[in-house]
Amino acid sequence: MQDHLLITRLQQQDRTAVGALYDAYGGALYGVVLRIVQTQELAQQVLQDTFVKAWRNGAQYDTSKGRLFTWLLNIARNTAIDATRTAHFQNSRKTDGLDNLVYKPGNEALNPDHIGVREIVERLDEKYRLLIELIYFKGYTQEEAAEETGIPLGTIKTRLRYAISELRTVFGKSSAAVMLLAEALFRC
Amino acid sequence: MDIQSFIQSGLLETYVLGQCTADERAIVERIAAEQPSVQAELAAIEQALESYALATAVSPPPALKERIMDTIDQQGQMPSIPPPAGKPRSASNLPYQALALGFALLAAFFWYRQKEIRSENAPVQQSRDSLQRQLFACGERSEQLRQIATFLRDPDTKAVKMTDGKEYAIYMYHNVIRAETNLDLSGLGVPDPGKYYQIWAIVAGKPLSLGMVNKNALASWQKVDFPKDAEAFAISAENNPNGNPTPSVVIAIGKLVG
Repeated sequence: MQDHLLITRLQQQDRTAVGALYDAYGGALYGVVLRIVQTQELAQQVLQDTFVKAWRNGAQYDTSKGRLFTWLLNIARNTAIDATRTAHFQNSRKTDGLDNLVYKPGNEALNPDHIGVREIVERLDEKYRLLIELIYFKGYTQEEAAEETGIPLGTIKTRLRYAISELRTVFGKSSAAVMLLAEALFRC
Repeated sequence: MDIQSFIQSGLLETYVLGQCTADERAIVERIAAEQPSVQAELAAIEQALESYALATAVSPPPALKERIMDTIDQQGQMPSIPPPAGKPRSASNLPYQALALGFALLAAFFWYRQKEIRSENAPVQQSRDSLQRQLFACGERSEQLRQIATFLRDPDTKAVKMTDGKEYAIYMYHNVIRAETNLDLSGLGVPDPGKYYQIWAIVAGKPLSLGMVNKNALASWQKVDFPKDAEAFAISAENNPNGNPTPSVVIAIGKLVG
């Protein structure tokens, strides 16, 4: 399912590989980064740094480490979290509540893309979405998520497993044109 | 060890989410190396999370891509500059001859390094040329796929899910501003022998034929004539390869919302 030609190009630091990765994953990573840093300007800087790092360190990725997207996501997530650790950012964030953490379709500040698969995501119960957001995208540990949400740790563990199995069911059955397209854009 | 219970234990999800201890990570990696079913499970979990990320994507501003490519180009061309030797001196003590010599040395260094970089780049250039030839052959198809992506990302493109409530989920993408309608065929299987799929729009309560499904459509994506004032879309199974004036057996239907 992964494009081995693209991976080879990335490992050779071929600049056109970066363009292809940006086309395929730029939006997905931007969505994640935005939800961590909250402002467009900072998110753009983080996304830029992410792709430059990916290009520079391309030789370090290999398929035994997992999917290419997971590797990119970790770079994006870590870069975004580092950006939130500056004092300036901390001060401006103090009043933010949990509301900003959950992906909310229709939220003007985020300007989400309108494609059919959004309906698929909306089918997922909010309590599962929240956990995926916190733990997978924002990098909270299960303990930190328990603290943040007030949900007992045991419940967090069970819910997380269920949330991921729900995602697999939902995406497995859909005829998501976007997934098809992401694949098709790789293969040529 | 019972592989099934290992898979059900939740440890694999923890691993993919980056939440493992170092010991747990070592265990997962060791077993994954020996068990294809565990590898497959890891891949499936990663894929589901990737799908979710793609589904919640937000388009960055178009100018950003070029900024990134420019940054990379700059970094690719500049040779690494050696750090200045010794401590900085105050201007009044700076011997100008030493400075001039320093510049001359730097210039010589750059010139030499440029030659080195060019010869290092030769094999890279060769593989690049070969790849570019391959890519050129795919160029046209890429362009078509990019157009599909642009269409899908347009906020005025509405997805209509056609379903029978049981097994079918086929998406029609309808954009009244662009006056463009496209069908995603990937939810459709192969019809029973002797049957042919026909595409319909419902306008003012009446079915309007949009033609037959073309199973050879590129990337399972078929453009249909834009039906003005469509309220719903449907797929039917017909006996006639050229279709019928009204649908015989509707296999999936969906209403346009919003």
